[in-house]
Amino acid sequence: MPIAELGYRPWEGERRGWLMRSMAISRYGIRVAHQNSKLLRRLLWLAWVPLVYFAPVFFAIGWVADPANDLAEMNLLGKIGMEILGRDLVSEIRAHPEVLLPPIWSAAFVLFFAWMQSWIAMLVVTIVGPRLISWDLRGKAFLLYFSKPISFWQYMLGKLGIIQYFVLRISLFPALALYLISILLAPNLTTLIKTSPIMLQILLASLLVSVPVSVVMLLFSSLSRDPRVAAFCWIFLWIFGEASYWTMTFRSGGHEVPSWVVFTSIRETAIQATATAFQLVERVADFLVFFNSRDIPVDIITDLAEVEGTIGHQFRLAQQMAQTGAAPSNAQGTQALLFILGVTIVATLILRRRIQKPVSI
Amino acid sequence: MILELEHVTKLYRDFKALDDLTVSIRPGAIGLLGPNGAGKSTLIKALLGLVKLTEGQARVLGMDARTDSRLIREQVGYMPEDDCTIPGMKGVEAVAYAGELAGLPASIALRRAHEILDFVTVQEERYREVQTYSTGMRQKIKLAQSLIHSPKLLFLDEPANGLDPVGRERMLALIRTLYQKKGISVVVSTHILGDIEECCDAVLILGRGRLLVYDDIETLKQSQDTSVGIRFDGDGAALRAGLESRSCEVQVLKDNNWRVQANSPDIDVARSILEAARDAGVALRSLDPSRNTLEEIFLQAVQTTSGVPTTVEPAVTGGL
Repeated sequence: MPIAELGYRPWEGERRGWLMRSMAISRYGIRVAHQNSKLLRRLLWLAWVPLVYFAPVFFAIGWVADPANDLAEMNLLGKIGMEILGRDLVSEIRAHPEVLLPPIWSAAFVLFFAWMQSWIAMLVVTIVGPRLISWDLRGKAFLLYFSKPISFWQYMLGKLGIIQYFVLRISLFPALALYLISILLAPNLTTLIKTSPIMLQILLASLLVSVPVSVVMLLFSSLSRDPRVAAFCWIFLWIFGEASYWTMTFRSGGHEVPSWVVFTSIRETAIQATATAFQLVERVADFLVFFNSRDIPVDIITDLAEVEGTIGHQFRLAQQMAQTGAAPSNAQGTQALLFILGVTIVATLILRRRIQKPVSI
Repeated sequence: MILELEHVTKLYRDFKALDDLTVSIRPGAIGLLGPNGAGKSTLIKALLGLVKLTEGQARVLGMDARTDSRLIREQVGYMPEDDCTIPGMKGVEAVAYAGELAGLPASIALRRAHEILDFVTVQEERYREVQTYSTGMRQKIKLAQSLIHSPKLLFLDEPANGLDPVGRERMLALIRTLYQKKGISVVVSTHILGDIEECCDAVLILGRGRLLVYDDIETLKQSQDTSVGIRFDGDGAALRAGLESRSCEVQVLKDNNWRVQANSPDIDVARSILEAARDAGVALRSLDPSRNTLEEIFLQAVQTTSGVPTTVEPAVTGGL
């Protein structure tokens, strides 16, 4: 045998596990998506812009909530915090930070997700998603994947990972950065321990939104060899759903719309799921009960309850619970979770058929 | 045995893509021959576990194609007929990616990708995007992708498709090297008889999903028919006498359409016909050497499959 033979040599090493093969699919997909879209790269930066607003808010709330800071010598941050929360609220928060900070943080994170991140996420999915399977159909790459020891689930997980990565970069990473900012300004260690579930809730909220959105996008992507078909379906679902939701909301004339209306809009459903993950209604209701028992008005909640859409609805629901003294429950949140679960399962099953068909003929 | 099929049947609604195939295939280079629609690709997909069999049992390298398809695909490489490109990938990345899909660690996949691209003679082009490649280059990339995970058995679906004569010769040389020097059993699926004869030592011929023949090519060639068909104008009696005097037998098919067979393998039939025709003053209109067994079986398969004979490129063997 030659001592320096160029070319083919057998390989007998240990093969990597189940998950790593999916990660290989995700890694290549992420790189290709990055390379192909300047707009995508810009949106990833844009996702950090809301921090310019939310970070000072978190700083301010953290500063005024810390009993170690003297309110008589307020700096600019203190004044902002006082403006947002009001003097009475601030006094109570300083007295009971471990009880009152978690609801405030939950509300702030839901608002953070709802206002800008949800829009950017929808745009990013529109850019990244359409090509993921349609290009494989067009290039007949299915045979490359499935002639290797790759299962449908590994393939789907790999493709899902691509959208997940970008959606999480928009929702999870900035939110975690905000949380770290909040932690840095926590008044004491007790507050840190009391609010630590928020980190898990950030992760849960991000996944609750990103997983169903990714599966639906993959399903659209599997419909045709032309990615424009998937993009059209997605934009239609998004814009038409959004228009339907707001039309029905405004036509209700100030009355609450039926609970199913929220499911006409992907974005509003995502906001609903996020609010559920943060237990927004239950926490705000507890928060209001605390202040109602002391006859302290909470103007900020009243203001938020007047906002149209799912966000306002969550705060109105919390107000009703606090007023009637009903046990905190969120049937609409449960409905949203079931709806998301149902959509994810159905989309996955259809997707499986769509992917297996071109391989088996 | 690398492949063991028992009553393998695949139905697509009413269409029988595979019809009761029963055969055991020895290691080596095997040509899977048949006209378009004979069931070659379906058989390969079924052996990889990508297509569910309607009936029967298939074993690949001793593993059940129904239950162990993932294990099979770890040990088997597949080069599909179609281009399987992922837009935006360079040649070396596409090969390394195939390795990672097969479970190779990323660093090893990349190293092996370079080694195998050297083997299939892809040089600096490996750093270009696959979409910009010629057909020949794409075939090489597909071959490299099928080899990266060190398979024990390789399925090659139309490996010389779309290649120019030089590219075809190089591809067939690579295939020969794989089984002769690297010990990898190869199943080459094609409808080009010449490719099979050049690079395989056994052949399995399918027609309409049925097994027509499985045997060593050498064995099939031994039964070669040396008779020659002739058409002529002139004195048949004189020609017959001339041929018989040269130890040739004549079988009259129709008036001036005969088949001439030598009594001894040492006799050159065609030369005898030409000399007898000259002596008898007969004008020969055609000389038609018989086809060997492999070719005849293949043509039979083609003829039983409607609408495809124009795609056939049989090898020319024997004759003048």
